[in-house]
Amino acid sequence: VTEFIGFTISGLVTASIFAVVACGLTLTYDTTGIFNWAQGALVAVGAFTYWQLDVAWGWPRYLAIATCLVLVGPVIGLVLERSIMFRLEGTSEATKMVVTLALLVGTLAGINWLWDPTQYRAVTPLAAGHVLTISSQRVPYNDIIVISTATVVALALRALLFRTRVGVEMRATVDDRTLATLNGISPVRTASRSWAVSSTLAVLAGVLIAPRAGLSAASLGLLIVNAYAAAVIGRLRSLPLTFVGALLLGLLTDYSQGYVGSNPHLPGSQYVLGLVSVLPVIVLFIALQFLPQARLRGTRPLRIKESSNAPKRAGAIAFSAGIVALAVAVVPLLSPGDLNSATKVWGFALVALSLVPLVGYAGRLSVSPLALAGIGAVTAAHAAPQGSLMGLLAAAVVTAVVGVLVSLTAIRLSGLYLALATAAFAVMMDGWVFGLPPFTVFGHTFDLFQGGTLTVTRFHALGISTSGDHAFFVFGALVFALAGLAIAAVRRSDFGLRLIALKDSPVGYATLGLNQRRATAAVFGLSGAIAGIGGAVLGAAVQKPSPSVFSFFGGLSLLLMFVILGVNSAGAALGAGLVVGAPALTNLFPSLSQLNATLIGLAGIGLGQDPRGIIEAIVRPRWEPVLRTRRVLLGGAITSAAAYLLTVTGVIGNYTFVFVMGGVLVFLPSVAHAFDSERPTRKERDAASDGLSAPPEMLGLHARATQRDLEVLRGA
Amino acid sequence: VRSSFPYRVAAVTIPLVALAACGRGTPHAAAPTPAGTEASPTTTSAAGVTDFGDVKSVCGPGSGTAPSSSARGVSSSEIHVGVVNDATGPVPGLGAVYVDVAKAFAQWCNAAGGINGRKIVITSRDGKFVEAAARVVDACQQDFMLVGGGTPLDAGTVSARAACGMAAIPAYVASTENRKSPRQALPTRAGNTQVNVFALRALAAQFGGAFKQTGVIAIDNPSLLSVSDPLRKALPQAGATEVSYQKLPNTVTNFRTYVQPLKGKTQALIAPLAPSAGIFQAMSDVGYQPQVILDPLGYTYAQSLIDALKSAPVRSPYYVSVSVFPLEIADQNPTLKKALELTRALHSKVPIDANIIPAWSAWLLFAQSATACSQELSSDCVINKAIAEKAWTAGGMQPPTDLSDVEVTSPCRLLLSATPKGFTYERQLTKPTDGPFNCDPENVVKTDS
Repeated sequence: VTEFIGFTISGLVTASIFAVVACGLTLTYDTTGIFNWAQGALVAVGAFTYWQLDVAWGWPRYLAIATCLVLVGPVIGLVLERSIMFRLEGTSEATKMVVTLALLVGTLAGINWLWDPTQYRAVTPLAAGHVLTISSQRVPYNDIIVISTATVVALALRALLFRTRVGVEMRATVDDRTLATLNGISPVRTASRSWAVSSTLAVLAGVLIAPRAGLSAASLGLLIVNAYAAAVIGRLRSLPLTFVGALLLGLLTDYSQGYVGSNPHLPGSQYVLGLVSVLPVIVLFIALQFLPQARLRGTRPLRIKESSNAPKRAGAIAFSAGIVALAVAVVPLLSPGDLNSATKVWGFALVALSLVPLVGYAGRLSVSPLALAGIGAVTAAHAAPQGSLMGLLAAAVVTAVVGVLVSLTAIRLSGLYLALATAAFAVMMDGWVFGLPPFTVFGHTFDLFQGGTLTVTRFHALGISTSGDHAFFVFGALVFALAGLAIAAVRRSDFGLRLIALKDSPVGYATLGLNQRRATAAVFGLSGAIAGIGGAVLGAAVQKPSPSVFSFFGGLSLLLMFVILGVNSAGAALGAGLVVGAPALTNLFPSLSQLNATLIGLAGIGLGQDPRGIIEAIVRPRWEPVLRTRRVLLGGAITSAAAYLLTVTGVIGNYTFVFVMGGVLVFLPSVAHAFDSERPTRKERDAASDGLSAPPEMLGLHARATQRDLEVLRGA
Repeated sequence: VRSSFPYRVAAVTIPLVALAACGRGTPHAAAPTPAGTEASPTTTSAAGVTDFGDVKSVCGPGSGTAPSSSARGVSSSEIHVGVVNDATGPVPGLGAVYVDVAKAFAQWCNAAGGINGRKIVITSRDGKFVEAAARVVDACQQDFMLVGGGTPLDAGTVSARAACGMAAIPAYVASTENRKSPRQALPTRAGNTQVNVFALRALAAQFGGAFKQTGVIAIDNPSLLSVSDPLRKALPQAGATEVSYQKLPNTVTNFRTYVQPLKGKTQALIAPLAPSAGIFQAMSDVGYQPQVILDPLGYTYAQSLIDALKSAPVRSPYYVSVSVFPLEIADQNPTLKKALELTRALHSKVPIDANIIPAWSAWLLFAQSATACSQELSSDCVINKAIAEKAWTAGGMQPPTDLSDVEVTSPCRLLLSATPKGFTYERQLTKPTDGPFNCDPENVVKTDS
């Protein structure tokens, strides 16, 4: 009984912290339509700032807490709203998610940058040493403070929403934004206020959790995924239900840890232990199943149209052949060690490629690409220990089936809820399944990662072995090129058109008598198969993959980089693979190991500006004239080939080569621009558009309306 | 082995740091050797060769002409040696001490005349935690050997090393696969079929009753469990009874649910895991105060344990058992004193770090063996000289270790007490038989696995 009361009290403390976070999450989602994935990162910011003020600078405790709550919290919220969030108005749900995910990754990397993660940090609890003893049951004052703080927060929030004008404005904005605006409520002001409140709540949670869970940016960021579950139980609408959800979760976590987790002598407990730590995520998964079915909706008008043209057959073939040729060409330029590292590029690129049909075509955001890849790697290792190509096939089949199953459980869901479900799946795999000890099903014993000693043998076919880094690098490129061709073929097929239609307007899709669930399941299967092959190739590149290669955060970085480059093209997938898989940045700046994640985060946040991605928004418009003007293209090709030959024969060094190629890449578009015969003259442009950057009916569709456009339109 | 991945938010959680701690430090191994066998059979007191503390014939100009060599990485005047580490990976600074020690040693050795006249040239092979195999491939292009380093995920480096016949004298090995791989000499490592239960025996007189009700806290992490599980199996043979076992998941949100069940049931706590103020705070919160807390494996011999004890109240006596010469009494060992002086001269901020001694041990073994290859310098010769050592002590910095057998666990350990003020060598409790170590052969018990 003492134990039970002990677990209950500590469960209530856990619940209180979850509740504070979840309420903030619900508040911003309701008032601005943005689900802030970075809420956990803000909690971490709060905890680390508190440590900095209280411990490192030795401020008096009340002053440190007051600074956090009165200054740091609101300021973070306002800065976020002013600099990032307000730009998200009128973008798609996927863009909103990616931007906040980027904020999550970027903030956590930034914290690790500012606060050296190897240094030991701890914060003493409030009123440390003071304990209330009720008949042998000890309750630390800190617990009482945390629980009562959460209660006060809940009551204050309720009072704010229902008893003050500010609250009424907030609720009005939620109910009907347009009507509220017509009644003189500024949605901008409402948004600022709710961001300020929400981030203050996150910082408060950070202050409360700091003495309890230790200071580690990643585990704080991930821990708060648990609070998402509470918010979903509250259906992202109701604060009281959210509070109840947090209560349930907190008690559930602590009871299960206390009774199951700490009784390793229970039969089967070695399998359940990992489960206990991902329990909130499973609750999240289940809670999602009970959400009311989202009504089919037409698309809301978007500021920028987020789709692109189908690749032409010739273009796709040229692209794929080019990839393989480049891979063959680049091998002699890499040092053996860098070549060994670079073999990972193709695995990551394939996994990113698996997102093209799913995210790019069908508009279904999945945040679990690496979880499926992990399954692929394990399957290949177990199905083909000798490295037969059947391993790739088996990986594709198994992950396709798993992909379909995931989509079936999430089939009623779309947008945010689908993303949450896939996040739950990824965390479950990462935190539990991949670490399972050997288990036996139907007489067959599975030992997934064999405690970190799993070997994925590099493949061989037709008497050719790819065990060397050189051969495997080219093999990876070949697999990627073939998969790229397949994806391009899908885009041109009926199925591809249906997926685009599904993305553009689910309601239109259903109206035409098409079955959107079947299409969703099919695209999940296709994407799963490619992710599985990618996982097998990645595993074989590393040869001894540990589960951490396929971690949730790893998957997030890959997803973000992919979305930043543009979700529609194999080129973006390759770029994402290069950034995540190749060691270029960290080799250039060895002391800045967080640089990559930070840059990915920053670039992702920038996505709010133009959600089509870098390739579509910047690279393609710049390079199109080059492709049109043969002379310039030929000149560039000859220069590159000459530089390459000189490098391979050792006449010039690698750095000179990089310099020359950099020059070609930078200047070629400018040269082409000058030579471009199709370039409209200034006079033609003015005549065509009356000073507009595009015909008036196209403004805002393919490119943003410029300031000048707005002025012209206003004048007219 | 769980770990995080670079280029992204490094999941730098407890297990990772623990993992880093786990592979490192704590040398075990070796047959029981009577005290005082300092000079090893291979050391020859040739002219022009300098000793390092109590280690004989380490570096020097030799006879004037460098021995012939056709080995990779060896020129007429230089030997290129790689140091594996993860200093700029997701856990910044992991293994940075290996590079510090390598530089300090090379500076001293080159000043003394080098390896028979050849200067040692150090190259840091920074594997960033998951790129270790790639860095070994790099090393295969230019390094003679890999010395005095190590990386937690070292199973992946075995095939890369085999591919180019790279020999190594690492400061530590993490995986069984690497421990058993050829062309290696391991001055410090742990066998895993034999367990040293010295700490329990040493504390039996004072806390024997408490150990009848022992609680064990471990972390659910394959590489950490591979050392804590054999220990648990050995407990009965050391007169201890495990009545509660708490296996913490990798990310703990609430230590109290794990500490609560220990209260009332257990009188002694065995905690061979990463020290955490969270655990100590939870103990204080639920009012759990065992008669004694013990880390019998020595993985917590680090500044971070002292920091944790400073920030959370622990009233129980806290002991850590290690098998390296205590850094706190380095003055009593000329070799260690010199090693610490050189390390700190290069890098003034060297905290208590159980990895300093294994790194020096590897370098001294390498240099002594390489110097002994006075006819022809090849990595085979160096490894053969090194594993011929039957009682390697690195000048008394570690207990005598038989380098020809990687499975034997040394009977020698000693006991330190840990308080917020730091670690203290417990001579009375240790009852030393050999230098500061207690080398009673009965310290080692065999387990069935």
